[in-house]
Amino acid sequence: MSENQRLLMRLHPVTILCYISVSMGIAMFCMNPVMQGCSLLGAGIFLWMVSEHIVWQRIPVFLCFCLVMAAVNPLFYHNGVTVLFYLNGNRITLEAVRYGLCMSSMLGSVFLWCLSLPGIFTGDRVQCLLGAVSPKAALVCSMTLRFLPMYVRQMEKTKEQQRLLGLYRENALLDRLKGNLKVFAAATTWAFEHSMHTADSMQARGYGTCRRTQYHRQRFKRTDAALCTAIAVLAVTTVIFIKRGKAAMQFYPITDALPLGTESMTAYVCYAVICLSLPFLMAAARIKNHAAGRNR
Amino acid sequence: MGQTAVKKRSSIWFLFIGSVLLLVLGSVVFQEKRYAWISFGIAVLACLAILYSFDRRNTHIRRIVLISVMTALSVSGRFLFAAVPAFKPMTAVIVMAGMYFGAEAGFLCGAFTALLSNFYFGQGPWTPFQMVSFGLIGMLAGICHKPLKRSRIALVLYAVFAGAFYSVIMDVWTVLWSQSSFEPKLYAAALLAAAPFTILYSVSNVIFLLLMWRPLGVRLERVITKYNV
Repeated sequence: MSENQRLLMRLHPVTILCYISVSMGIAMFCMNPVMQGCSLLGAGIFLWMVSEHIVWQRIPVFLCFCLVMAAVNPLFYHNGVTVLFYLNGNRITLEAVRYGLCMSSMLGSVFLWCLSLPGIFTGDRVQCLLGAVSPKAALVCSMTLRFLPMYVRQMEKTKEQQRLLGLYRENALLDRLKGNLKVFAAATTWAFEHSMHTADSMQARGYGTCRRTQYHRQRFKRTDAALCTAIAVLAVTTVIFIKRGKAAMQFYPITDALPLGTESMTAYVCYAVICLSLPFLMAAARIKNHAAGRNR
Repeated sequence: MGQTAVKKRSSIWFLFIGSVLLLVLGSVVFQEKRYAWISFGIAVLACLAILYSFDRRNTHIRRIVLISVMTALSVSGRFLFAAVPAFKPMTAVIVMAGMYFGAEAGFLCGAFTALLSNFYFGQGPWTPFQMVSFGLIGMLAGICHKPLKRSRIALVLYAVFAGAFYSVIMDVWTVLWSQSSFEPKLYAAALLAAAPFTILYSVSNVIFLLLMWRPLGVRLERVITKYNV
C-alpha cells in the first residue's frame, strides 16, 4: 500500500465521499473557467495519487471524449452574436465554442473524479457506506461479490468435466454454443441449490432474530468531523459568493467577462481550498517519501 | 410492530422532504444544469425509496440470497461478454429475475447489477440512471410476468422494448448533462447516434432471452416450488 493510500485510509469513507461530491458538485453547476480549471487540476492530481496506472490507460479516451464534447456544442447551438464562419448554412459562433470548451472541461473533471472512485471505495468501504443506508442491501452486495468468483470457478469445473466425458465437440461452433449453454444451465442449478444451503444455514444461525449489525474498521474520528465541517462551511461560503459575485457566467448571447470582483474571488479561493488541499497534501507526502528514499 | 410503523413513516417523510428540498434547492441554487441536478437527485431518491422498502419489509432470507444469486449471474454475464460492446446477457437475466421473483426482486437485481458491475467498468454520474433503467426493466418484467411466462412472442416483444427503453432513458441523461436544458433536437440526434447500440441491445436481449427462457425458467420454477420461496 502506498503512502497516499495510507493517508486516505485514515479518513472515514463519509469524509472522502463528502470531499469528492462537494468538489464535483460545485464544479458541475458553476460554469466558470477558473472553477473548471481548479476542478480539473484537483481531480487530475487526486486520480494520479490514488491510482497511477488508470491515468495512463484512460488519458487517450479522456482526451477524445473532451474533444468530441467541445466540438458537438457549436455544431448544435447557433446562439451567440460573434459569428466565426458558416457551416452548411448554420452559424458557428465564438460563444458556442467557448461554452463547448468550458462544458467539456467540466465533463472531463467529473469523469476524472469518477475514475478515482474505485481506487478509494474498496469493498469494505462500500459495505460501510451502504450498510448505513440499508443493511439488507449491503448484505445482498457482499453476497453477490462473494458469489461471482465462485460461479466462475464452478463453471470452469463443469466445463472440464463435460469435456472429459466427451459430451461436445469443440471444433464445431454450434456444438460449442450448445455445450456452453449446457454448462451455464448446470452451473445455475448448482448455484441455486448452493444458495439455498447458504440461506438455511444463515437462518439456523439466527438471521433475522434481531437487528443486523456489521463490523467495519472505519471509525468516524475527530479529524473526520473537523474535515467534514470545514468542507461544509467552505462549500456554503462558495455557493453564497458564487451567487453574490455572479461567478456563474452567462455564455449567450454575449459571453460575460470573467468575474474578478472581491466576491467572486472569495468564491474561487474557497473552492480552490476545498478541491486542491487534499491532492496537494497527498502529492507533498509522496514527494517527501521519494526524497527520503533517495537519501537513504 | 409499533417501531416498524414509526420507521416506515419516518422514511416516507425523509423521501418527501428530500424530494421537496431537491426541487427547491435545485431550482434556486443551481441555475446552470438545473435539470441535470434534479434528475440525478430523483434517480438517487428512487433507488433509495426501493431500498428502504426492501429493508423494512420482512423478506425471507431465501429470497434475499436468490436475489444476490441472480445479480451475480447477470454481473458475470457482463464480464463474460466484456469484449463485445452492447451485446450482453445482463438484461435477459434481470428480466428472468423479475418474471419469477416478482417486481421488487427484479428492480433490486437490475439496480445492483448496474451498481456492482460499474465498479469494474466505470462508475460515474450515469450510475443512478443505469440503476433506475435496469431496475425498471426488471420491475416491469415482474409486473407483466404472466404473458412473459406463457408466450414466446410476448417475450420477444418485451426484449425489444427493454433494449429501446434502456437507450431512451440513457440518452435523456446524455442530453441533460451536456446541455443546461432539454433540447429535443439534440435528443433526437443522440437517439439517432445511439441507434446501432439500441439495435444491438434489442437483438442481444432477444437472443439471450430465447436461449435462457426454457433452461433457466425450468430451474427457477423448480427452486421456487422445491424451497417454497
